[in-house]
Amino acid sequence: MSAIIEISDLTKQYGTFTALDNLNLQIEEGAVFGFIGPNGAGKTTTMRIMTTLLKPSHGEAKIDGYSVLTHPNEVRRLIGYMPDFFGVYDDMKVWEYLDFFAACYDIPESQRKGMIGDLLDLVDLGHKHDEMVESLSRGMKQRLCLARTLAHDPKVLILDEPASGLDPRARIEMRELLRELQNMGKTIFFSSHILSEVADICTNIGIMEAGKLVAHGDIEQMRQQLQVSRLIQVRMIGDTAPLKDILMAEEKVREITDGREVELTPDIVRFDFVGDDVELSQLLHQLIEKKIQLISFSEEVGDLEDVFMQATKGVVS
Amino acid sequence: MWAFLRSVRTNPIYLREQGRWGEPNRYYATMMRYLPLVLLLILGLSVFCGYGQLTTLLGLGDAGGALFALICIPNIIIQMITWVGIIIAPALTAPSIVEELDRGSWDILRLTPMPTTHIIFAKLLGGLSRLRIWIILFITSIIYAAAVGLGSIFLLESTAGGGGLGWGLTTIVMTLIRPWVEIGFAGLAGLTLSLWTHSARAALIGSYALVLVYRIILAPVAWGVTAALLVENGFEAAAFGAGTLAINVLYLITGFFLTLALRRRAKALDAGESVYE
Repeated sequence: MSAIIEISDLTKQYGTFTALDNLNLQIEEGAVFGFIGPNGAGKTTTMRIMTTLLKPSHGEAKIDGYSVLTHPNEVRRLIGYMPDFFGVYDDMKVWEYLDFFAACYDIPESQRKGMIGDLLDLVDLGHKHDEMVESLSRGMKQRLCLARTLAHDPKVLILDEPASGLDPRARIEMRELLRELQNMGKTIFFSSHILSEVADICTNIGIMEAGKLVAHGDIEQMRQQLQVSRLIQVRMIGDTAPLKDILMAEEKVREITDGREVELTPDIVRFDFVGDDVELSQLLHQLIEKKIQLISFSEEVGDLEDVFMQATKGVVS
Repeated sequence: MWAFLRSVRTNPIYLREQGRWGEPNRYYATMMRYLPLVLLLILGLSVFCGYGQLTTLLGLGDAGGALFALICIPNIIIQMITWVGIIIAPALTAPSIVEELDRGSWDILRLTPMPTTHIIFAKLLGGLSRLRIWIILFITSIIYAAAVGLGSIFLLESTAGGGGLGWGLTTIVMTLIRPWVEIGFAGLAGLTLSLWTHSARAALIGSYALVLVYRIILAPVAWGVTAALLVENGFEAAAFGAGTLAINVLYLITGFFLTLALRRRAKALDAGESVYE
């Protein structure tokens, strides 16, 4: 697949303060990209540049081959943007809100009625068609805002903290909605603070800190990039001392923990392993050769939080 | 810009300001609730402003007396309508962009295919078009301008010995456009000040102060100075038309600078300058 979002050497400075420092990123068509990082990391600045709302100090971003600097109008037709401050008009009815923005995108009046119904059904607000926007809950307003971003059928959705401030049910609904949009073939670029959500839905992630992209790729690739150690758990029959001796002699093994130390049974040993799959397989083979009576040999899968903590240093620009 | 003006009646931003989708302007809605008080205030101001012209006309003797009914009555009506316009116009334009910025919807509007300057001018024109005064203003202005213009031609031809047609036509045109210029100026001031102050309330207060200073002090001064110069040089009968011309020029020059300031702000907003940065 080809890259639909290409960001090269993107920098944004406000006087002497660098909000975004030489960002390079490529995102393939159809991907769901989670952009994570602490507040002030440069996520919103990146998104505002990608949406043509902010001019970079240096570098450029392209959406589907169109530069945000030289072809902003083409870019605006390709993207749907939902800011974190989602800005709905409380004085309108739900259908009027979508009708107004559809008119702004030159969608003929004859097509708008059917399109509004479809969009409201998609975001599960069909029953609120004639309600005033101000009567909607925060989660509903968020979904309405998302429906607005879809009015002109953009290829790329850029969503700034779409689940921010939502209650658990509304978050789940938003996540399901994003999945549905992904199935519709949209490329989704969204920022979030909620790592579990990002892990659940994203095909790729990028981690920002202090204006820099510290890691990106899929979670597995990132763990390799960051050399995050793999936690291996072994269960065996008999005394664990011979097993520990073998492990201690291994170069790739770090920090061996007895099961009792981590409130597990005494027949369990855990250790951090920094090698790849081949080296791990060789270690398993060696244990079997040395007659260690293994019951299980498994890897505890690290989550996105581990990757995030490994990638970031807690620096805020 | 010409293409924009030709299609403005179908522009969604223009139509939104007119109230096609919701009620975009709470200041306007509040003002409409207090309309009787506003009209009383306007009546007082109109009589105050018309009084000077009444005494001038009566000072011209029989000719002035004869023109009184044709000039003073339409003038009082025009004064009233103009006051309605210049009081309501800033309330229609001042909040239109600031509230979008406060609500966070400005960025969304900017992402539509419309250029920022078109959005701003659609808001200005859409807001002003909500003033339901244009037809009555046009009819009364024509009666008034024709009476004043024809009176000027008659007076100049009979007393100054010629040159009446040119000054008469100038008087007609200048008198005709003056209320429109003043109302447009008030609306423009409201919008421009709102973009610089980032506050609809501050912009309203600022634009009211500006239009009052122009209407009560600067416009009469411009009229008086121009008329005095003409009288001194023996062109008494041309004083009215030239005075009105001077007032319009004063408003148009200031309006030109306000438009430049507005365009500059529009460009800054287009470059991504935001109240949230």
